[in-house]
Amino acid sequence: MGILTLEKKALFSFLFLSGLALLAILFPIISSSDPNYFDPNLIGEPKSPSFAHLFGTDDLGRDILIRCIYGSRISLMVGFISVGISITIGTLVGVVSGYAGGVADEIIMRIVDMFMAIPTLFLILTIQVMMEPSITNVMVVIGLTSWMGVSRLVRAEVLSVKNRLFITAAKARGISLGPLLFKHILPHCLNPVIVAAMLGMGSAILVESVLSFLGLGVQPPHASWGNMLENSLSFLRQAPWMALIPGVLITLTVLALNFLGDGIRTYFDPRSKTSARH
Amino acid sequence: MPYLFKRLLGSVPLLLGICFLSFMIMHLAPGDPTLMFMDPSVSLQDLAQVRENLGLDKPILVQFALWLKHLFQGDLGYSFVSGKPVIEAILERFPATLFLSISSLILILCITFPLGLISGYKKGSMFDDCVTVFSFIGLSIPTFWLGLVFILFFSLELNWFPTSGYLDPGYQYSQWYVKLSNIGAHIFLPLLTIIVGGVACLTRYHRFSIIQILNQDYIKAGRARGLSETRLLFKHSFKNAAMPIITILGMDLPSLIGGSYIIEFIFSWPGMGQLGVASVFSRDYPILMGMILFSSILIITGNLLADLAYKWVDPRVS
Repeated sequence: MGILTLEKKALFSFLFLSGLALLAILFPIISSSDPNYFDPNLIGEPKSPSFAHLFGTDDLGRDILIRCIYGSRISLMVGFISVGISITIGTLVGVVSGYAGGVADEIIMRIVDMFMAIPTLFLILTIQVMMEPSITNVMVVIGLTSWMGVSRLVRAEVLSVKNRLFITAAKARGISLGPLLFKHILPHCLNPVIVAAMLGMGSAILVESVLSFLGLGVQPPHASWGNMLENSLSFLRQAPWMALIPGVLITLTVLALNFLGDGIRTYFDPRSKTSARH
Repeated sequence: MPYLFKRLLGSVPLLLGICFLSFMIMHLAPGDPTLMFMDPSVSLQDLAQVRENLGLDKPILVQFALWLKHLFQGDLGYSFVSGKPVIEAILERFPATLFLSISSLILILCITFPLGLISGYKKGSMFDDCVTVFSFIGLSIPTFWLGLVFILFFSLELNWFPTSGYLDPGYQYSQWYVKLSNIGAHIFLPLLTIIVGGVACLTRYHRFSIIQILNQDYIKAGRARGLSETRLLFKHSFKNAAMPIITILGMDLPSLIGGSYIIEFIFSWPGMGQLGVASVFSRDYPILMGMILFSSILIITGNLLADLAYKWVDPRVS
């Protein structure tokens, strides 16, 4: 690597993400600005960025900076919770499938194949239309449709761990199945899961933005980066900053998550230094 | 050939499972499709009649069995909204989607191979750094937003390309080359949007496999025997390095297809994606089922082709 080493990229990403998370958590506590407050003088036409409104205002005279900060709460929350759901399901399925082996493993893996052959985004869109669009639904649906990769990773790790000596020793001591799986096997399988969590958060944030952009995710007046983009469509020529700012924020956040995931992977497995693959 | 037969046979239960799963998800979800396109003033009795006509009053498993029976007769039902046969509605959109995805696939490969090759060969150079950063950024940009930015910049600001559509009205009966250039202008931006994501994803893998292969002993031996670097790269590394790309293309097909649906929607490209997103909004079950089935067949076929290509590139794979 040249000027920007992998470590530096991961460090910058970590700083950026923690800054964003702090702002998202603390801003509503320390500031009384309301994301839906509108300046009656500015209503009707979006105003370009100025000192009073650093990111400009939208068509309803609302401050875009404040809405972006509130939008970051949504994006980060969607990332955390949907990845939490997918990691939980994926880990359970992977551990069971890998440890059980035989017919059970075969059946479970075919089901995983089945889920993987469905165009996920399309399925999510379909489900979202059927249900009342809400933040909770978005998180649950993304979580329920993105666990397959994790289950494959965990299964592969379990397969490589389950015949090692310390597991045989634990079994010889008469340990019961639960502690064996979750205290002895699982901890050895978590490294790829942490990396997958980082990358998964990135893609969950992307999916949320698509859903909200299509009006199927977070509903106005709540601010999310995706529905700010939807709103910007009507003013694309007149107020390009309304479309550019939330998009840049999404890109930066996902980029930071990808860099961080890559950095963590290299830390766990220095041989992959040249790789940058998932 | 027995291999191909076995694989084809294996994909039948896979397809059945996919059908069952998507059918269940869509029918168990709350929301009545008849309410979407019926006049609110219609009486409850008429509504019940409509539901009966559409078969929506039967138990869900019976509905699925009926749907399957019709499927085997080559009948996927009729669109709730337009009344067209589902197969016809999808097939008439298919060429535009195929055109867009095949041309983007070819361009993606044409760009990825040289980019990954140079970047892997000159590992750690300025060029390599730029490629790596570009591919990370390309993976992180929301594609639909990139499409919007392209529209904003190339269409609205510079006025170089049309914002949407396939062919301007009035060009229907023009000379073929006029028509072709008009289609070319329309396809340019959607193509560019899809290519950025695809190249970003594949280049990282290709670079990595080039690096791995160049470290292998047979390359060192070749170098020691005095083979030229070009020969080493193109004759001895290229084919081996293409293998992971084939696997990944097969694996990432679902997201490629899903992503291009949104792009089609943004640019009003008259393909399956636009139809799909429109049917999502009008809760057109038969069309959605047909779309999911059709896309899944495409994905499974893609995976199969990837496996076959893999065997062809590397005869050791059994």
